[in-house]
Amino acid sequence: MAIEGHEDGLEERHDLLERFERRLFEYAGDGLVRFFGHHQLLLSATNDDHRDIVVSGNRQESVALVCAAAPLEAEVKEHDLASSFVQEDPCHEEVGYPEELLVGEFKLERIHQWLAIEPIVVDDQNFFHFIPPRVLPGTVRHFISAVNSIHVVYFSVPYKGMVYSVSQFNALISDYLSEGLGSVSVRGEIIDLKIAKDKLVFFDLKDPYARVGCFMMKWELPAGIEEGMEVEIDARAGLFKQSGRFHLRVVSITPVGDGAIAKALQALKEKLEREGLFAPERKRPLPRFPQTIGVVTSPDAAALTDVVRILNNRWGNVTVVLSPTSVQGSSAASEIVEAFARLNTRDDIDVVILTRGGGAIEELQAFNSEVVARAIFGSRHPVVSAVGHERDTTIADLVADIRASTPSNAAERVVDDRREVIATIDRSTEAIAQFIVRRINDSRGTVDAFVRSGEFWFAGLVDRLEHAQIMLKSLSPASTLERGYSITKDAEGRIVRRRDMVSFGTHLTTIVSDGQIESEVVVS
Amino acid sequence: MKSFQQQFEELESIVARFEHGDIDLDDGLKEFEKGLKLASELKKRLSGAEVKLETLKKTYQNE
Repeated sequence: MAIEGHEDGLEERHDLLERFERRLFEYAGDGLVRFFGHHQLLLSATNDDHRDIVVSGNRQESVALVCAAAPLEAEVKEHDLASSFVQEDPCHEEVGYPEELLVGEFKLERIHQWLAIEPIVVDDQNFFHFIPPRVLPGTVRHFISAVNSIHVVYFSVPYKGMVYSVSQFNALISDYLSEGLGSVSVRGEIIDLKIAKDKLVFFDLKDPYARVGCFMMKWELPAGIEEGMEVEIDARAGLFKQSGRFHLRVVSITPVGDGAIAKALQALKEKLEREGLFAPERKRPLPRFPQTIGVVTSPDAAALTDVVRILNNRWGNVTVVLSPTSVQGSSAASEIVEAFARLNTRDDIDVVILTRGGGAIEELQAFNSEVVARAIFGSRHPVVSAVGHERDTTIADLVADIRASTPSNAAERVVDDRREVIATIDRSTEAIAQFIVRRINDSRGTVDAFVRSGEFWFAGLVDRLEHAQIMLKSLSPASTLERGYSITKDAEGRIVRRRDMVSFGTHLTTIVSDGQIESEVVVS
Repeated sequence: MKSFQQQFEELESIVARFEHGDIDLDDGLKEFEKGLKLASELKKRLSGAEVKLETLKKTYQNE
């Protein structure tokens, strides 16, 4: 007998469900329940008599399915069910759910919907309602967690007569461990570290009482992880399908304990140095007068305020482009890499400052990571790092083009002090003025000849020189004149350079820094 | 408009020309006036202006 449901008529559907439920309760044989797609729910079940029961409906409405499962070891409370609801759309995520699960005598194929569960006890047997969500609750993973939270082995004890082959059983348990348990964190000491075929890494983790086998690929193993080291791993439990051997498939591995961390850091330093990331030859020079300065730091921290303040004090006329990032926490390293990537797309950046405020040494983790080191090395623009501060040198400091001690120091390294530059400009103009004076004195002979020939350009020259002096004075307080040099001219306007140009009573005009002094020679 | 760096380097090169001595008086005064003009413009650029701050958006806004 086949029963087909239609989408119209809720009452009809409930009627159908009741009948369906009753039917299923009667069935103790192999059942096959299929869930299809996101919008249509098609259920069918066959019993020993090979009868088909088909119920279809969309996910907006409740469709009850009852399956037999292993005996409950704990009572399901209301909050356990609630924990299976998560406000997330599962459609975006392909849940790593095995194609087929054995739930009691029923096989569930790939489930795309969220399911909530509700227990029903019938004749001392525990059944579960799988109800598609009206509002999309959690993921299938959470469903499994919910199942686990009530200690249900959702691959139930084998039904009488149910016999697995060895490979089926291994696959079953492996999937259950991997998907059912999910990711776990385990801490222990590495022993028996072996690398096979130059790519497969096997080791055991141990504590004083027990050990467990671990597995990962060689390229996933970070530099510096060694036998004897205390580590923490994130892993999924599984069975190797062929050997049936239980193991932890390592997803990430980090050293714990100061000794281990220091060792791993040293190993990373040596690796990067060998690759040339610290090489002095590749350090890039900073532009003398940057116009646009990139800054990679936390937008909330004092480091940014310090940099901007110092830039303002010293120079002022620049644009700071902040590429924000976290500087601590587990996501900091990848955020820093992204921050550099954003600055790399800009043509106008002249130099980049990478900095953080003060803090405990543990928070330097991101700046000792390989990915950040490579981001600095590969930065399009030269990098000034102010990360490790006075005492600690991080890998970031070693890779950077310039290392500064603090955020303020970084700003000092990047721009000149405008007062010093002004002084340099003044010295340049003074130097030029002195050359002019000297040239005029040197070419005095020529000048006199010109004067005698009545050319005016000499006067023009002196005028221009005087004008230049006035200009120089107006620009530079520390000008030649103010330093005590003066120019003395006789009554004809000739510059007096030697004693024989004057005699007793010659009227002289001396140009000094703030005007002229008229005088008369009394002794020469 | 020339950048600060370009103008600064121009002033430096004028000084260098004088230091090498290969400049006659008339040219010299022209160069001197040019140098003074550069100096004045450079110093004007150094006065007053404040740091401008621009913030890039993060690519992903997590959580």
